[in-house]
Order: sequence, then C-alpha cells, then structure tokens
Amino acid sequence: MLESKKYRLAALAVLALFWMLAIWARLFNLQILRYGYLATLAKRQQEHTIDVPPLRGAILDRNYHTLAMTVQVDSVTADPREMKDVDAAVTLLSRILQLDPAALRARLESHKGFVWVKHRITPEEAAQVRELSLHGIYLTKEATRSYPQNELAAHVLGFVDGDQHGEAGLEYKYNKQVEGVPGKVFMQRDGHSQYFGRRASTEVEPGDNLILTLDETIQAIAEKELAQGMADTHAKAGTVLVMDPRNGEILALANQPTFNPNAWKDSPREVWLNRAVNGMYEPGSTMKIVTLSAALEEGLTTPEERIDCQMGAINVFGRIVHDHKKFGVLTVSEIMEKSSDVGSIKLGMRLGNDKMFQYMTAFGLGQKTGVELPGEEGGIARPPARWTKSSIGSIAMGQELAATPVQIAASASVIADIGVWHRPHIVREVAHPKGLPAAASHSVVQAAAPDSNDSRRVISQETALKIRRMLQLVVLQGTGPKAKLKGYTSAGKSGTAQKFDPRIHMYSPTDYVASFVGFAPVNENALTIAVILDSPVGGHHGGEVSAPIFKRVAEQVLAYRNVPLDLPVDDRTLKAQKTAEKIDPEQLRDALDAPASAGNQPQTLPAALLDASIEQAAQAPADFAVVDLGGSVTAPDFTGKSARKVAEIASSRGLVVDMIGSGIVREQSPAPGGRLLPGRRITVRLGR
Amino acid sequence: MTRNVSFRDFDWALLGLVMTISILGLFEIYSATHNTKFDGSHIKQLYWIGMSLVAMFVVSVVDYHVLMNRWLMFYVPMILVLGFVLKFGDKVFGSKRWVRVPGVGQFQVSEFIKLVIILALARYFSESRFDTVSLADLAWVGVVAGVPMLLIILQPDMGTALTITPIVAVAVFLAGLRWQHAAVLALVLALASPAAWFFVMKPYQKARVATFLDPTLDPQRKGYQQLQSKIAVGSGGLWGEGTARGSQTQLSFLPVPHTDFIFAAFAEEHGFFGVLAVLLLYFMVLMRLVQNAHTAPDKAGMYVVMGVLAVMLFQILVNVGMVVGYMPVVGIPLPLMSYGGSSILFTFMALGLVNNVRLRRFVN
Repeated sequence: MLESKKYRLAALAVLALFWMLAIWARLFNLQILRYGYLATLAKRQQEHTIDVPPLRGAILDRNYHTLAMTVQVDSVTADPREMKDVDAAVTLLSRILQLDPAALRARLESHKGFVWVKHRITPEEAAQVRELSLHGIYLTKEATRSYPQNELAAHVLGFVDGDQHGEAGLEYKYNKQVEGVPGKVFMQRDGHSQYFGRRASTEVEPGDNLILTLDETIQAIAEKELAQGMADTHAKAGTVLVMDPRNGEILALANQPTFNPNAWKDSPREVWLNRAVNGMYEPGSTMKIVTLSAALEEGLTTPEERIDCQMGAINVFGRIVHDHKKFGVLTVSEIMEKSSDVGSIKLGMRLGNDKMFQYMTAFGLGQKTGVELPGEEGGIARPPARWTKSSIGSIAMGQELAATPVQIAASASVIADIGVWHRPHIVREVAHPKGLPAAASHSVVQAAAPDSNDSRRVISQETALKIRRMLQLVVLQGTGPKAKLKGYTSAGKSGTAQKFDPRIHMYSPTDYVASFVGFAPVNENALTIAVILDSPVGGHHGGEVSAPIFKRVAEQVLAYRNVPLDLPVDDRTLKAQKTAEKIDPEQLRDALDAPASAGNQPQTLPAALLDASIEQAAQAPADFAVVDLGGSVTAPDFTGKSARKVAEIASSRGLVVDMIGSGIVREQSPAPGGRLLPGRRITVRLGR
Repeated sequence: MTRNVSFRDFDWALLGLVMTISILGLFEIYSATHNTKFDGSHIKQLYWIGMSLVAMFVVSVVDYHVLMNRWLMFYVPMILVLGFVLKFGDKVFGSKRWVRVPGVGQFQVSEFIKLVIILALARYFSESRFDTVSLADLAWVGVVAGVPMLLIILQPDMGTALTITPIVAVAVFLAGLRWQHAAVLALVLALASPAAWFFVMKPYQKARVATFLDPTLDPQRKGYQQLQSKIAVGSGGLWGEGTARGSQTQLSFLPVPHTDFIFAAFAEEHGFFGVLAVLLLYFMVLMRLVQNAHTAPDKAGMYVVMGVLAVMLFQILVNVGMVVGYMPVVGIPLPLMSYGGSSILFTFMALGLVNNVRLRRFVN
C-alpha cells in the first residue's frame, strides 16, 4: 500500500466523519432544540377539534308557553371534490334555492373539501334537493331560532343573527346563559385529509331557559289594544306596559311600531328600539303624582287645603306659566283631579329644590330601574345644582326632565302598592333545562330573588292612600273619565307633554306625548298600566287618547286574571257601552251558526234578543251563548245553582268552569254579565 | 490464486453490524406499513435479506480478480438490458427502471451495474503504473461510467445515476487525481449544472431543487415531503414516540415511510438516542470497510472495497441529509434499512465483494 493512498484514504475517512458530525448537529437541533415547535406542528396538523353547537335555550312566558325556541332545519353543503357534474348542480340548485349561478359555480369549483351552499332552507326546498341526490351535495341540520308567535313581545325577546348570537333584547342580554357551551370533539386527521377517531373531549351543554314574568295572553291583549289605539289616533309610536305593582313583575310590554323577530332584517333599525326602556319623554302631568306625594309626605299640605290657582297663570321667577284652564281656588285633591299646573308649581315651590329632587330620586326617576332589558336609559333628572331658578316650576309639572315608560309605570306602582317602590322585573328565572322539552322540569339557576335594593318604601302608607284617593277621583270626576272601568274601580293620571323639538330648540307646537298611567282595582292593586302615545294626530290629551287604551287593556286583563269585580255592574255604563256597540245581526247569526253542529237545527233567536242590551245577557236562555262585539262571552249567572246545573250550562255554552267547594254557587268570578274571552275559565265558589 | 480461503476469515463483525441494522430496518418497515396497503412488506424484506445473504456468500467465494478481469462479460449485457428496460421496462412512478425476472419478481438492473463499475475501475487503476491520473484515464473512466449513467438518467432515475458518481470520484481521487484536473472537472461541472438544469432535468426535479433552496416556494406541494420529514424527526424528541406509535408515520403524513424516508420514521419513533445508535452502527460499518481497504492484499482489492464504501457512504449521507433537510429530495434509499429487494440485494452483494477481498488478504 502506498503512503499517498493511505493519506488519501484517511482524508476520505475524515470527510465522512465531518459529515456524520454535521448530521448529528442537525439531529440535535431538530430533536432537542426544536422539539417543542415541531411536535406542536405535528399535533396541529394531526388533531382537529370540532365544535358541537349547543341547543339554545328557550324563552318562555310565566306559564311556560314558548315565546322563542331553537329548531333544527336543513342547510345545504357540498364537497366539491366529490362533485361529478358541476354544471348540472349549478343549474338545478340555483333554480331551487334561488341562488346566483355564477357565485354558486365559483363555490362549487373551489378545491376545498367543504363549502356552504345555502343556510337554513325550507322543508320544501330540502325535499327537492334530497330528490336530486347529486354527488357531493349534502343536507345537514343547522339550528335556527324560531319565534312561534311572530311579533308577540318582539322588543322584549329581540332576535339572533345568522350565527345564532343574540343581537337585541333578552336574546342579547342573556346570550351567554341562553347560548350554552359548545362541546368539543377531537378527531385525528391523516395525511390524506381523512378524519377518524371521534372522541368527545367536553360535553355539549344546552343553554339555559329564560322564564319571563310576561304573560302571553296579557301581552297579546296589550299589543292588540295598542295597535287599535295607534290606528285610532294615528300616533307615530306608542308603548303599553302592564305591571304587577305588588312585585314589579312586568306582565306585558308592547311597543309600536313593532317587527317580526323571525324576519327582523325586513324592518328598519329604529323599529327594533324598545321604547319602554330605551325611549325617553317628558312625563308632563303624570309627574304631579310625585310632586303631590312629596308635598303631602313632608306635611306641607293636606288634600283638603285650598290653594289659589290664580285664574290660570303664575310667574315662576320670571317665567309665566299658563294653566290649560283658568282655575280659581282648588283643593289639593282638585289640583290633581283637574291637573292644575299652577297649583302643582305652588306645591313644588313649597317643597324646594332639594326635597323635590330627593323625591324624584326616591320614585326612581333619573336612574336606571335595573329591569333585565338591555340598553336601559336612566332618563334625565339633573341635580338641583344645575337647575335654573325657574326649574322647580317646570319640574313640578313634569318638564325639564325625561323618563322612560318603565320608570313611569314603576313610579305609579308606588301609589298602587301603598308607598313601596319595586324594581321592575321581566326575567323570572334563568332555568337550567333538564330533559327538554318537558317545560315543567326546570331547576332554577338564578331566580329573581327580591333583595334589599329591589323594594323600598318611598312614602308613608297614609300619604299613598291619600294620593290613591286623588287618582281615583281623577278617573271619577277629573281628567281621566275614559279610564273608568266596567265592574272595577280604577285610578290614574293623564299626562300631555309637548315634545321638545331639537331642530328648533323649542317645544313643538304640534307634537305631543299623550300618556296615561294608572292602576286597578284601586283597593286590590292588581295591575299598573302605563300607556304612552307619541305624536297622536288630532286629540292629543292623555286623558282623551291614552286612557281608552288603559281601559280596554285593564278590563280584559282583569277578567283574564279572574280578579273579582269590585263595583256593581253599573247599568248606565253598560247602556252607554251598548249604544256605542251596535250589534250587527248578520254577524251574530254567523257566530251562532258555527257551533251548532251536534245534530241540532240552528235555532232562530227572537229578534228582541238579537239586539239585546248587554245587561240582559244574564237572562238569556241557558242554552244560548251570548256574544258581544269584542269577541268575548258574558258570564252566565250561576248563583244559587247546583254544581251539576253549572256543569250543564257551562258545557252547553262551551265554557270551562273551575268549581271550588260543594253545595250551591255562592259566588262567581267574573260576576254574572262579566266578560269572558273565548276559552277563559270561570271560577265559582260553592257553599251550603 | 490459491483456493484455500477459509470462512473463519470472513468479516463476521461486519456481518453482525449489517444484520443488526437490517433487523432494525425490518421492525421499522413493519411499524410504518402495518396499517397500510403495504402491510406485510417486512416479510418480503425478510425473504430478500435471506436471499441476499446467500448472494453475499456466493459473491465472496469467486476470487475478485477473476470477476475483475471478466468485467466486460457483465458490463456489456447489463448495458443492453438497460437499453432494453428503457424501451420495454415496467413503468412505475413515472419511470422505467424495472424488469420482470421470472421467479424473482421485479428487478432493478441499475443497482447492479454499480458493482460492475466498481470492478472495472478497480481493475483499470490497479494496472496503472503511475501515481497520478492522466487525461486519458479520465476519458476512459468517463466512458465506462458515463454510458450507464446516461441510460439510467434517461429512465429517468437521477438518484441511482447519482450513486455512480461517488464510485468514480473515490477511485479517481485514490488513483491520484491532479489538482489541476480536479479544478478543470469542477469547472466543467459548474458549467454543466446550468446546462443540466435547462436541458436534462425534469420539471419535478427542478421543483425539488428550487424548493430545497427556498422551502417557502410551495410548502403544500413540493416542500411538503421535506417539511413532513423534518416534523417527524423533530417530534421524535429525545426518546421517540415508540414503535408503531409515531403519529407522523402512522397517520401517513410522512411520505413513503418504509422506503426513502425510513430514517425519518425511525427518528420519530425512537428519538435522538435511537438515531444516534443507528448512525453509530453505520459509522462502524464504514470504519470496518476502511479497515478492510487498509488491509487489502493489493491495490485492486483496496479499490474494490473503497468503491463499495463510496457507494454506501454516499447513499447514507444523501439519504439522511435529505431526511433532516440538508439536501433536496432525491430518491436514494438508505442502505440496509429501506424496503426494497434490489437495494438490499445490491448492498449485500457489495459486502460480498468486500469479504471477497478480505478472505484473500493473506494470500499472495
């Protein structure tokens, strides 16, 4: 072996060694220094997590009737890699699903393994797509929100966007609770993009159900009557709030204009506004409730004190305020009944700025009530430091401040509940669903438990009772005669405020906010109802345009809630009602013909009965149903009848009767002649 | 030449190292294929190893001088077969490199021409009376190695063709390549590579080189294999994910994990220490070859052993370099570990040549 060859052999060996060291260095780099990074890369491409969407919780009314629910509908997806005939698919699908053919083609010709074709199609469309059985076209179930009652309580419920996230109303506010927690499923993915080994890592948790204080039926009544009121007055907007004054529970919240949350996109944004909590207006005369309560509570006056109303004009530190009528000397009670601005201003000035502000705050003005609705406004109630000299006069009669309908309803409820303010509530429970859809099984996650902040005494019982009497007199002999109810006592206060027009920085000469807030029955404080109409055309006084809505809502709701009548059914009232509602015999006959199906010949009524006044209804033969124009049925007289007889009469008239006790009927609700909405129950108490 | 060779002189240590590596390879082939359509490859590989062992002993028996002197007897028919393959061979993965031999199955002729070239160069340079390589020598070598290389490139099988170059390079280097010639050769190569880029290389080959130089060019397509290989090696960490548990390997992210990328699969499943051990085994094999070259009875024997060493070293370095991202993706299997009958058979026959030389080291 030559030396030179050995030398060259050694050189080759050294070369090999160096390369080997370089490889080791590289391996050290990859497997030790960059291990974490590369292992993460491996994991990222091998593991795939899929979210399993949870079922969104339902929204139910206080009787567990569904207001919002989530249902599964079909959506069309495609795997473009499996598609055999893109042309045919584009032609057929664009026709069935009304899609733009060019856009659809672009999607189907992409190289992805999954594309959406169309979200949430109708069952008919789904059937057609299924029938095509195209290669690579699939139907998958996708959740969608459904509001089975359409417009009902739209502003309370709100709506969800395409991703099923709450965008407005309670859907927005309680999105987190209602939404639920998506489950996660781990899958392994191989180099050929195939997935396998599904393994749930976290369970999907369905969303909580919301149970509201709303009552579907009361809500329907409020909406129907508000819509009627809007039609009668041509107002731009309106709100009706029905509240239980004993605990602040909102039974109905209706706004106009309204929208259908199933098709919320079709309505302009301003329609989505929940005026009951997002809309502010100058309360006007309804503020006199606060002013007079404060004056009485502070011992500055008595209901009987006589105050000179100066023939309708007063100078408040340079500002001349005119009353709507020239009043001379009025008692304090009459100031409320007749709504004298001058009288209220004088009482306000006795109170002074600080006391006035203290009571405004106590009645909940100028601060959010805390009702469970999103975006609540606090209204405007400036502190006295920012008042001008004449402010006290303006505020005493309800100007220079702004309030939301819910604040006004809550402040009126203070009088109804004899001096106690209750925080308005609309959500009763956030309930964890156990084995839906059985609505009865809920475990309460978070009940709206009354805490110390939820109720507070604002004025003494004595003061409240005095004010209550005044408000009853408003209805009986003051500015609110149209709020007089049949069979029930009522109390309330009208308000008529000029709208402040920001364009001219003045009160508008033509636009008014007409309101009426009141409660009934006076001694049972079952309901508070606030009615606010924005810019009614023609008549614009609260007592004139809003009080009738109060009346119609109150009568129907009280009957529905089986609140016992507390007034004898006044003949005169009924007669007046009768002349207003002329019965159309044709209509009545049609109504009578329809149920006569049990083999009986349709009976012909004596003409006298057809045109009978409503008080005669109780005397109608037992097998006749008495129909009036409101679509309601009058309650027959059961008094003195046996349980057996009651059942007989009830079944013949299609009525449902709840019987309590045994013997003969001593008492019934509604009272004989009282109105019953179709399908509503009559309660009778029997005794020996 | 005397006949009294004794198998006691056979390089048993080398055989032990080689068998250890082969068995590690078998396990890795099993691990990489047990859930795929290539399931059972390890059994086939086992048969090939058995056959190759026999071939190794056969090759080591006939005196290498005899083989060397009759190199043309092998060379000419093989060239013809290569030509024939080019025209009639089975097309697999886009290239014609296989012939079907009845009873043996598919067969890659290009592997075995390397053995003949080793013998040819050993004979040529062992007869040279000078310590330096003349231009005439270079021309002769160029023709003998160049013709089969060209035919193999045309298949096209750049990887196998490339494995011929280290044989030539090492032989010429050992024979005393003058630095002037080396410089000129380097120059020619430098000029030839752009020419090769434009006239010889296929688009996929260009893409491989391009993505090697800049892996961001098309990470999903061409750079994909290399990236997946690096991820596999890296996620092995210190100790590896365990036999049949390498996720890159098992989930088919790693391309051809039982052939060209078997080293990556092994690295993923057995980690840094496992790889260190295998590389050490390879290093010991190579050192064993250097030692055999050292103790060769004559220049011819040294050239034969060094030729084998050149091929093996080249294949190991290129394959491992490719797996760890040092080199572009070239279809060169890892000797002894990669699945493939021709490759195994060639390697064992080459080791047979080494033993052939070794068995005659005391015979003069």
